[in-house]
Amino acid sequence: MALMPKRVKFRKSQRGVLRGEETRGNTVAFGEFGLQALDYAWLAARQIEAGRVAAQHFMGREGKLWIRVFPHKPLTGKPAEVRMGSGKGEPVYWAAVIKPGRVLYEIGGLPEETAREALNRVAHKLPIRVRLLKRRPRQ
Amino acid sequence: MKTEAIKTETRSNRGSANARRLRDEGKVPGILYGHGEEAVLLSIDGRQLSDFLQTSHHLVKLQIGERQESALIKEVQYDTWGKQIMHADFARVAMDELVTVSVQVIGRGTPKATQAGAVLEQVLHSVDITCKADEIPDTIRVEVGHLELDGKIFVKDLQLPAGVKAASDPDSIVFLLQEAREEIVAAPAAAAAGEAAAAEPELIRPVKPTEEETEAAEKEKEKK
Repeated sequence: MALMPKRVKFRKSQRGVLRGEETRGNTVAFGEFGLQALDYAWLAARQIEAGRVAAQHFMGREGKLWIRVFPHKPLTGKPAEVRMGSGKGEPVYWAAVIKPGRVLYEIGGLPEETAREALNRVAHKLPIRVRLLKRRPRQ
Repeated sequence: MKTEAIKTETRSNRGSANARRLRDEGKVPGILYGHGEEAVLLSIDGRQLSDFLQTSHHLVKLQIGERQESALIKEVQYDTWGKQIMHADFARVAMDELVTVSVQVIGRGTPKATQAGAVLEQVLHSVDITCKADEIPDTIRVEVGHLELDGKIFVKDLQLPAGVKAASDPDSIVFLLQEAREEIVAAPAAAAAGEAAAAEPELIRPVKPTEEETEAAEKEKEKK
């Protein structure tokens, strides 16, 4: 099931501005390999879930997968054939706000080739460019 | 124990703009401090420092003009992409001084249970140790091939070189071999129902008083 918050303070949020690079959450912290975002995006919960399913399906019961992002932002939309106006639409889906540099997924307990292939499959499910990141030797 | 001498120059220019100019020249701004002596601002050759950091050495020799100083790497700051070194902190150290540093832990071997679906998890990637500065090991290698299902390796189980003591909590788990959890796949109908309900999470708001409660409150006010 797609990720979403259990409790929120407000039903709808303003759009916000995507600028700058990610200053936190930009290193591999849990596993040995990570997938780092290279673009800005609102990553929908279903896209995060699609990535997870792709990786888990390939990994089977081996290794461990971490999802480093969470869809906190509610995005709204208006129904089809409705005139503009009459206020903001209803929440349609949830998304994670992604800036370049953010580590999206991490994999541990797998050899490099397998982890690389798993993350490559995740990359195909994402709407942005990403790159593979290895754990820095000195952290 | 290997130590490398890194060529550095002292600098007098402070501030982010000067630091940026240094980086454009391929140098890294840094600082050397400790032992009650005055802090020295340094500009370090970026390539030499980067090559040194690829190794796991903790102790470094800094060539500052004519003199050489031994130092520990306290902190290295990277840019968002983890490629360019933004700044490096060094602390003066004497060879016979007791220091506490964080050392990388590397597992060796493959437990047999992993072939049957068990997952080997490395919980701690580095461990704090206390030892003399010239006895700091580059890495701590741990044999994990003998682990069985639900087996754990704690900090206290690590075989450290002579003169090296663990400073981390001895009961912290370093390696853990556990059974892989089955993936929970929601049925499509259940997932759809879940998503419909999911569109509206609970709102965090103060609970509004009922009409009876407000009437009671008003009566109390009138009495007063």
